[in-house]
Amino acid sequence: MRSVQYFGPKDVRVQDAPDPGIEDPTDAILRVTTSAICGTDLHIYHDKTPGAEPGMIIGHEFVGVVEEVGSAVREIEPGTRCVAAMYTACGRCPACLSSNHRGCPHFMMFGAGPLAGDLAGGQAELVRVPMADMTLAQVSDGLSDEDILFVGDILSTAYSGLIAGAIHPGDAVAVVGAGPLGQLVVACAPLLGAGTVLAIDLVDERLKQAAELGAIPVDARAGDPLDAVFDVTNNQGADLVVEAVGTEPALETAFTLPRVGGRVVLLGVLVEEPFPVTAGEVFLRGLSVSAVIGNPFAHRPELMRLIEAGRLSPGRIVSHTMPLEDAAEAYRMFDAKEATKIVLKP
Amino acid sequence: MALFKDEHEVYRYLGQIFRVSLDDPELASKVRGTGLIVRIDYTNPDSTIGVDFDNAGLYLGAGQLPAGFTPNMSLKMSADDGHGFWLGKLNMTAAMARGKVRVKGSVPKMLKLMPLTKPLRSRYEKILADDGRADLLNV
Repeated sequence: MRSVQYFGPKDVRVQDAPDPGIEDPTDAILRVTTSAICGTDLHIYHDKTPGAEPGMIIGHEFVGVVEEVGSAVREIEPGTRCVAAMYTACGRCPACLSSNHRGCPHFMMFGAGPLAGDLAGGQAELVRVPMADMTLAQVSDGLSDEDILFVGDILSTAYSGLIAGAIHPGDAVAVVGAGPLGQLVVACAPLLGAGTVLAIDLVDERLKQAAELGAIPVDARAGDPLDAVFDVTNNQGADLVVEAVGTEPALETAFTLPRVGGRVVLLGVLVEEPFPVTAGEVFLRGLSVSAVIGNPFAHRPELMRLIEAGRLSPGRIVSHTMPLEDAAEAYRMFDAKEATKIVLKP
Repeated sequence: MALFKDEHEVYRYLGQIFRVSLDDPELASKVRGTGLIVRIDYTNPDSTIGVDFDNAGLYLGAGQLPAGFTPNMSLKMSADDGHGFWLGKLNMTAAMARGKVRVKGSVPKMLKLMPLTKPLRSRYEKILADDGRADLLNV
């Protein structure tokens, strides 16, 4: 099969790989119809993911049709159209039963290398999906791949972040970064009661898209974003700040924005970045800080209902649809911010 | 109606108390080495004061700020509130909570700085009294 493989910094190639097969009775094989390049993939692309190995198949956002199932799979049949969660979970352990699926001892993330379970990714024609009954969710026929694809990662991450940030009705929410993840935070925040949403970015197109979703666009090149936040919060600062980039400058910006007693949620992937403020600053300002890895298992049922009801249209963030064979160019474009979100078609 | 008729009056009085502060040996010994660089933008009348506590630098007017002046604390408030602060009539914490004062920068640094200004209030009153400004003292 054809697959997107990582070979080193800014070096991804589309190459042949052996077709995956059933390894455990709970596995399914999914024939991928659409996959996406995620910001997390860019961390691999930039060689910032510990343990990433040359030749590993990347990608963790994908949707497709089940081709084959193992003998212990009960809920999913061949021919079923499904979206995958970005990581696996058993659904039966104490962590899963307390909705802490990230803490499941069977956690493996697709396409993220040996430190995340060494599970091949979904930017490929076929992918092996462990614990398929839990990892896959059936998709209604009426929903497009593009609308449902992000339930497995960035839409769930956006939603999980707002929930973890204890969003309250009327909250002023500042979103640092209006890339794909930030756009979906902007889209979800009003559904959970946000009063005002500000989207902070450096890219005109992304600011325009965020404005179309109802956010106040804040161009960080034009001045201190805190002034824009002060302007709409009576000089108090944001109730909830969502960092949706995962870089030191974005992190620094995020910690300038909350009000006294405000909340900061970190969604962008961070590895070695230091905290930009002291513990004393956090204490004296009474901040609550949460680092969140999205939980598709906890939130995909409600997110799918919101999409079906037309309250969410995640597919609108897709700026480019490209053949899987063009993945190297797609990565270059995404990295250069020439595209908001790219999906790949095998 | 604003208490100060123009920015020159702001610099004459609020600027002067900052000069006194920087020259005060006790305060200077406490703020030097902190790296504290403060910019205060006043409104009504619009005026700007920059203070580099490490180097005892005082700049009156936005146009007087030296190139590369990068504050690590910024405040924005009305000049009336700035005046009220030095008279001890403005509770800074309450003013912030009410949105009257816009503060950017390190809260711990600000909390360290505020108490140091307290002993200087009488000096501010003296500046006004010496200049015959009973109208500003009795607001």
